[in-house]
Amino acid sequence: MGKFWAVFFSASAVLAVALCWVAKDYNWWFPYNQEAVSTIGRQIDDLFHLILVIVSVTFIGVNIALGYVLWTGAEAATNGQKKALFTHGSHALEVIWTIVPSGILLFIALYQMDVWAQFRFKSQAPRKLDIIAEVTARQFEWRIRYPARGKKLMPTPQPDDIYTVNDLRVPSGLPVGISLRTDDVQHSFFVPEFRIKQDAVPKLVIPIWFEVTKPGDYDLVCAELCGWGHYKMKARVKATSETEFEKWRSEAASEQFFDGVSPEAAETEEVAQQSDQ
Amino acid sequence: MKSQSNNSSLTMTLAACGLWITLSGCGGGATAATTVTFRPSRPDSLAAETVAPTEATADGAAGEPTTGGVGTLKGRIVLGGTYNPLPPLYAKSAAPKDNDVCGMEAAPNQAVVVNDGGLANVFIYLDKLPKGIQVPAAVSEPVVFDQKYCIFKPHALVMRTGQTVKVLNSDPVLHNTHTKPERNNEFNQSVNQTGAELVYSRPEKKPLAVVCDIHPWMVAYHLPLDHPFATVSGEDGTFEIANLPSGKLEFKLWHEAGKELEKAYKVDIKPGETTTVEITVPAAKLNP
Amino acid sequence: MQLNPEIRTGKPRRKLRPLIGLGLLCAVLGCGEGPPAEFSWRPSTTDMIPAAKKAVQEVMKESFGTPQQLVAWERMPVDFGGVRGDVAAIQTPGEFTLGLADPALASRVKSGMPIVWLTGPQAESKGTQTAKVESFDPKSLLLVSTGGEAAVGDKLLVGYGSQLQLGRVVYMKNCTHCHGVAGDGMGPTANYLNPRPRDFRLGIIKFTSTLSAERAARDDIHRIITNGIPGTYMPSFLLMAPEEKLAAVEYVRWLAMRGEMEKRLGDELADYNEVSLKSDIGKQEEAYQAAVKAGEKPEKPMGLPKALATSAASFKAYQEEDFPTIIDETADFLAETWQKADDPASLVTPQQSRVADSLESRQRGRRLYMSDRTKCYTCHGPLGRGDGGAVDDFWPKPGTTEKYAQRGLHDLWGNKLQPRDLTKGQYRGGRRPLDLYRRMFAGIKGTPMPAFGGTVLKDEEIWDLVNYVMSIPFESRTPSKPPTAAMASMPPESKVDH
Repeated sequence: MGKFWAVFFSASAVLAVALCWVAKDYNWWFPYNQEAVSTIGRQIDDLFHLILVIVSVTFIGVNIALGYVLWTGAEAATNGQKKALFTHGSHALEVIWTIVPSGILLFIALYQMDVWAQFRFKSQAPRKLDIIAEVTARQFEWRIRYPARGKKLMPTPQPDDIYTVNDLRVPSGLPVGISLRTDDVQHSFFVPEFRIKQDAVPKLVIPIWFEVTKPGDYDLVCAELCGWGHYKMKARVKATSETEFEKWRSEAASEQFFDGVSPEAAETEEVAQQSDQ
Repeated sequence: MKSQSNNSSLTMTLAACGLWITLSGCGGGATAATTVTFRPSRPDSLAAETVAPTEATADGAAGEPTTGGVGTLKGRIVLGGTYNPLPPLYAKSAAPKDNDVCGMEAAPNQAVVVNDGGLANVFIYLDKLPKGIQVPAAVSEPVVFDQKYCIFKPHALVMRTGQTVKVLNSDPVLHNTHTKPERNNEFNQSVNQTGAELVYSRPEKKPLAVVCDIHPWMVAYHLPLDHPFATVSGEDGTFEIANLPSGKLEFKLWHEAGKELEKAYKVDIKPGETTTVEITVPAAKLNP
Repeated sequence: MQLNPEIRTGKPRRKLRPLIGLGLLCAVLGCGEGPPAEFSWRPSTTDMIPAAKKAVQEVMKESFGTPQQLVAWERMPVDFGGVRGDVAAIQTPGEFTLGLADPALASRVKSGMPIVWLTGPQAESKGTQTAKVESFDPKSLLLVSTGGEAAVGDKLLVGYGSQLQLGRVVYMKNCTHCHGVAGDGMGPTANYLNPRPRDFRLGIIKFTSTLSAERAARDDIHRIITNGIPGTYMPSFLLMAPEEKLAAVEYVRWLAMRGEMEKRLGDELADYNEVSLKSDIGKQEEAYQAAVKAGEKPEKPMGLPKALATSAASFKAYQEEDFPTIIDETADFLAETWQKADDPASLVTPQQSRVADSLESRQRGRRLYMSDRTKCYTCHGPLGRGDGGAVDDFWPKPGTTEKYAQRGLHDLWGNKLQPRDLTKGQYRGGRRPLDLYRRMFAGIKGTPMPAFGGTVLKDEEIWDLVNYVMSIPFESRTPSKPPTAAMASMPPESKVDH
């Protein structure tokens, strides 16, 4: 019986390692893309891989030790000959297996400091940061306000601001920022493919920055339980080149100020509707 | 050991039930299988390519003159019992809104209007046309519906379907004429001096209220019908309907305070004669 | 450690086991798919005498079906999906050329769609699927079916009702929890929402691009689904697949037509309402008793059983004579009205472009706002805060002289309605100048917001008002002073109409 459990526990560990080894082939890895699509995302992925390596080494080592102990113990129990070993602990061992993990953790903590600072501290964020939108989380949608083309985002709404719902457009290839607010309860701005996540807290306006490396369509989901509709609180993030972004901004502005008559506005509305899908 | 086996059997039961509870929640709901059955537009439209809806014709070909000639119904609606005149909705110069216009006159409470014992603003109309009647063509002239000093004039109006109702505004303030029909679509339009036009496409079963969304005391009643055999009793309760087809007819009587006063008032119209009636409405029936 | 001897013997555990078992049994019995969804009925229907109620419910079931067994009634102007066509020519058994009234509809036929024969040798199973489309060539209109003979001229339906089914799935997944299965605005989450979700069954949708007497166009419903309604719990379904959105639009229209049909039939049969009959009889009894006490000799009133029997007999006669015509007329009216909503003539389009958004235009707009020609300030307030004098009045219920219990304005659904606070810059029907123009021109259906276009205000005046309204959120103001000093010195427009 004891030997069975020894094999069982060791086999689980072997299975876990094997699955991790083949995970990428089965798309069991990071969502949608194997690689993060933002600069900070890449750095976070590097950190992830580092920790994965450290943890894997530890996991494999500990499980080998566990398997060995279980097996020899089981053998001894069945044979019934070996005498039980009475021990009062080993001070040296305890010191070793406290200091080594602490050292590893301390290493990890110091190693990731600059990535954390880049994302969280204004002083470490890129100097040239273009705040392109104010994103207001609301039960259960994302309301986004862009400044008009050529203008800066103001903390209060301006007459020529452009509004969208669930549609965040960002230029790729340069660092951009958004101001995050919430209308009611806590939400969380989570773009999995950028590897960025930030809670939206009532009464606060929180800056977030990122630099998208690859144009494309990405998901923005809510990561803080905010009510019965939390599961479907999704928006699309469309990263395009900067010229495309500005072009979209002009089109969205003329669509938003469409008076039903002006032909130029009507044309761009049609174009905007086509590119909408 | 006994307790161990009990424990494990309990565990197995728990696991089985948990599995069943989890799996039973699957499926059903929005994605349940549905069937859709085709229903043809009209029962006989499968055979023909396009079937135009047949006009509802009365029995008897159109164009035949009504057999038996026409007669007139004349009479008076009398209020039975005691009647206390209703105080005006507001006195002169005491209008709750737009006093300089609406306050030019005191606004009478037109829920119950009695003069010389006669009850005014009662709708007398044929609900169902007897078979074989040829309905005279509609009048092409519009009928006028005005509002002056924040009171609709006239208070009760009958018109034909398809006939234009000219909604006028003889006040210098904005009025918003809003009809509340059952069968027709609502008409809700702000009206100034230029006026507006209103047309009812379907006949109503009973009179509908017309209000103003700006001055809440304003109300009038319209009754669009697809025949001319209807009228409203005058200030002193008198009424007359001419060119009625002869025979036994059933009239409906409707008043805003008592709603349906009479479901089927039977009258026998003789050709070429005038039938005079006096209808007494007990005061108890009116709840203004 | 001293162990509790009770635990060791296991006595309490044995007592607990049947309880645990019972609890599990109850939980397990309560689980499962649950009852199937049903369309709710209006009180006007359920309060009828049994014969009338049965008649109305049968008509509704025949014409629209249940949420599981939908009926695609061709008379209703709903795009059910699929096509109706006939056999133009036969190539080989099982392959024929499909004849369509409009060749452009060919793109709607897809392989896998069910075929339903309406006439011909296979039409015995009328109304049920007999075969499927194996392949279809949109250019040559050649249809290969999975079986069955056909003769030239046989009529068939291909995938008819497929969009309605898709719309049903989309609606049940996304909309039912607020709007209810029948679109009655009484879904499970509706009680937690303010403003309440829309009840489609009056056939009226507030924010439309059509004239005030018309129904909502398809585009309006599509726009609301795509953009949501800011300031309410109607979310934006921007990310929904386009074909699902279109299907949802058709399903919502179908539900609105169904609800309107039920309402109109209920209005026609108002005479057969059992609840009001019972209350009338009760009143008659009371009057009789009072008269007897007063010493008079009144006529004994009809008792309730006799009244019900009379009503039932009268309904039987009505059902044979008039009811079929009424059903037809109502259905035709609905079909015509809803069809008209998508007519270009019903669309509100400005005749001239927006007046330039200058200070002068805004000032003109402000004067109009405060004038008695428009009376905007009576509801929306002199500063646009939605606190005009009208919110303090008691308003009468539509069609009666009875007043609402609460002060203030109400909408057609009976909810208390606050006039829009224009200082918030939140425009529920859309924030484009065109949308604001449409609100002013045609009013907002189902609410006290009246229509000013075509009668009271000219196009340039509406644009002036639009410019003013769009500037209100950006004005700095103090409660006592009007928005700008320039406006303070302006007199309001005189009462005399020009």
